[in-house]
Amino acid sequence: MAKKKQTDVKRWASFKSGDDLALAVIYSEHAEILYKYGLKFTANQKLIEDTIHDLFIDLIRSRKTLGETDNILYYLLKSFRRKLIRQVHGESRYGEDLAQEVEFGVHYSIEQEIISEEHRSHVSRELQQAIEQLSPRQKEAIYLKFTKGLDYQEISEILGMGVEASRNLIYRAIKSLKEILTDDPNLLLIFLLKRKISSSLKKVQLF
Amino acid sequence: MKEYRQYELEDLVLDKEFRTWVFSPEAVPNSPWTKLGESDPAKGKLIKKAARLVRALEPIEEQVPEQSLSDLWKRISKSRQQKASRAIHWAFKYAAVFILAFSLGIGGVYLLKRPQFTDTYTEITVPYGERSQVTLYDGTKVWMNSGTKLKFPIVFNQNQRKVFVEGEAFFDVAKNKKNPFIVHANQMEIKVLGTRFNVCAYPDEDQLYATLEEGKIEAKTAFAKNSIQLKPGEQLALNLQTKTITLDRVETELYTSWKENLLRFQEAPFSEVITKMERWYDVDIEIGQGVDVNRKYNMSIKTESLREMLRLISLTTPIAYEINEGKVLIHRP
Repeated sequence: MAKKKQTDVKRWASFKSGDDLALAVIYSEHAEILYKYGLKFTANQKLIEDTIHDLFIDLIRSRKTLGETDNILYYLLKSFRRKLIRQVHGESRYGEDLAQEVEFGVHYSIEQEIISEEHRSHVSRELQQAIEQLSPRQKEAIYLKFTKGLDYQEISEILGMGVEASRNLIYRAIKSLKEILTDDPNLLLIFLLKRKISSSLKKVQLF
Repeated sequence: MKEYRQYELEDLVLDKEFRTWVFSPEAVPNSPWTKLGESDPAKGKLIKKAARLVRALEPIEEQVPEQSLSDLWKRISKSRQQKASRAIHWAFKYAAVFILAFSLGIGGVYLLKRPQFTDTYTEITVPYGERSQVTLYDGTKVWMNSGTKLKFPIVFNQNQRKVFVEGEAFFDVAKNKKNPFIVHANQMEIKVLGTRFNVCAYPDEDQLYATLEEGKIEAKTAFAKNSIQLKPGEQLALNLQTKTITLDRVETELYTSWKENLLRFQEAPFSEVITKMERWYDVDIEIGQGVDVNRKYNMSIKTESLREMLRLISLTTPIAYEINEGKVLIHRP
């Protein structure tokens, strides 16, 4: 959104000009997001913490010469991802698995739905399998778009691909999942229920 | 309004507002999908499928302990200290405590006693679309409206308590007869001893307002030699263009209700309604040709969504609107 962008532009500029409060705000607003993003690539928390540490130290040391941005989240996600993947590769150089591929992996709420007995439908299971079969890049692109609100241009920069290609990546993923959703009798019931259930009961996973 | 009738499942899933609606329908009241689903069974089915897919794709986010994040911040400050001077480091450390408390939403910011911070000013900016409340060192409470910047010393000195505001803020000043509280807003300075009042001074507006709810305030402006005393229920307006000052009796509630998340308008021109909505909902609103911007509005709206607000306006006014990715276009129907 335009105003959010304006805030980001100003905050980034204050940080660059030496404002430590701006830096503290940037950290407090983004550290957890970066951490969670890191956990999608590795379970090694020490490595994630080291990477966030290095990222912020680098930002502080080069604050005067940093470029401008109107989306701090995107800027940080991009630099963090690059550093993290380099770190994971560096780590595996000394480990047993030399050619370890760094891949984005994520658990989806549909898995919980499958576990809870009452919604163990045929369609749910097929849908879950289809989601699992999405490529790591598709999963990551969807995560960046849906959960982090990035646009295709930003996603393409992070994943190192063209804008059109990143759009197609997501579009094709959804198209493939669409095929699975046949007319499941549970769906109608679920929709009717949903309209009656208030947000306080949201923890009951209906879909 | 967007043509949701022609949407395919993919388009729905890729629609940000649709995804918001799936997870919190109350955030999008009167959504087009509820109606569409009820009136057209085929579309209803499609909407259900899309909603199901959106939910299925919701990732389960791992929990990150708060402690790890604050330890990590300490580590960053420490590494940095090796290069920076000690004084900067302390400011850094303080900012950390302060901001982490702030971001955790503890309901207010309580500043600790740190004498070395007397006269060290710090600044909070509330983004558009949000509101916030802080408690200053002396116990003064400040409510900040969307897009407001407040600059204040971490610790007040013994002789005066001075803060700077840009935007809109309501002050409930802690009483201290020996130490006046001064609010600086653009071309105006307000001096108080202990009272409740609202200051509105957005940099993109020609008018500054000070509205007194309770107690006594003294306003000194750039346009008059003497300061002006306000009684409860009075409002001082400063026009930066004409350099004129006016003092009026007003219904103060109209000007302070925003801190209770209530948007109120009384005989307000459409242009003013639009400006407030832009800040309140963090959107850009464009007005098309032929829309009467001088038409007056009377309304009172509590925490409605942007969509609901626009719908209410369109009920009483001949306008049509479109919402698209944080942008609103209002035009003649």
